[in-house]
Amino acid sequence: MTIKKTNPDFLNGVPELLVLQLLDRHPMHGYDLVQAIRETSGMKLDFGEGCIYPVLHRLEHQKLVSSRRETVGGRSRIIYRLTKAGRTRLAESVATWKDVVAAVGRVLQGGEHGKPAMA
Amino acid sequence: MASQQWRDRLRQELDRQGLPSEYVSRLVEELSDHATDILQENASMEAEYVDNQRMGSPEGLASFARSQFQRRTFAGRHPLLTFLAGPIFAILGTLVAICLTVFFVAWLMDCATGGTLSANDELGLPPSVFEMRIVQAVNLVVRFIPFGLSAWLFARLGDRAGLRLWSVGACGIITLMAFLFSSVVRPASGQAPQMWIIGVGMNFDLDQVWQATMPLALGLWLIWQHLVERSKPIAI
Repeated sequence: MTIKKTNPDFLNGVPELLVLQLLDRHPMHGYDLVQAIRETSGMKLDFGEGCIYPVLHRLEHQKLVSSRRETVGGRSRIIYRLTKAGRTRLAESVATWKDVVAAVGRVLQGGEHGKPAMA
Repeated sequence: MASQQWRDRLRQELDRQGLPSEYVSRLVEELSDHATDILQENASMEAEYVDNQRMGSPEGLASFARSQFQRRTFAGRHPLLTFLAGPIFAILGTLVAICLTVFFVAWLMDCATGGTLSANDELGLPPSVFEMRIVQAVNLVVRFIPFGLSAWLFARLGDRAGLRLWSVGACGIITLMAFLFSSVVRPASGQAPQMWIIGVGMNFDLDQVWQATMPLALGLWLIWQHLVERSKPIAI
């Protein structure tokens, strides 16, 4: 698979990828999602926790996730679930991400073009 | 729960970003619930620390929310194409659609009357009063509907994408096109038959000024809305 020539969503797509991946495991509300990102990333990914909601609302508008108000632990929560379209997008995003990581890895390791021109 | 001051500030910042009120209400509610969860799990944490360090600053959050909101729609992702090129295509498309509809309806009427209308033309008879009224009505539709409809459409698109200022730009383009658009029905006189002339012209008469009033008014209203939102005092 080749990487698209222009990918403006490359960095913007990281929170989306994480959210879709975590929701693929099981439905969650926003707070759970943030804790899951922190814990599964070994506390390496730190961000303003409020940022998760605008991302979730956009994904919901794009029909990649769905939401439903449910009572959890005596409190009313909005629970987010991955949709079928969300699963398709997740598969595409994971494939793109792996390609990008592999490409960056090759650059960091150095290749033909990494050798000095003159000794 | 997030402090009232932080919530008020956030709501104000979200309003200033031009986001719709239902979107703002839901976001503030969920963020407030989120802050409550943090405080319940970390009872020793101070609310102020939770608000600004864990949740993020109201300005930063509002700005991020706006960027995410804009990415939801085609207009938000491609504002140049939508608000600068879009009005031109929308007006031309509406004009063509109206003209095609009129011709189709005229053809249907001609078929329904057994070809009487076209027979009159072939015989060189002048149009009836009814036909003249129809042409004048269509002339009015062509002069006002494409511009009014396009201005409304782009105002809605800007509102939905949180891009009111881009809507103002679109209304400006539509106003200019309305000023330049000319559609005149010339009554029959002497040997000359009644004529309907459509074109583009720089002869600014009162008719063309009237055509431009709706998009102009809508554009000015959007500017006023924007200024009102910007002038709202920031809660301290």
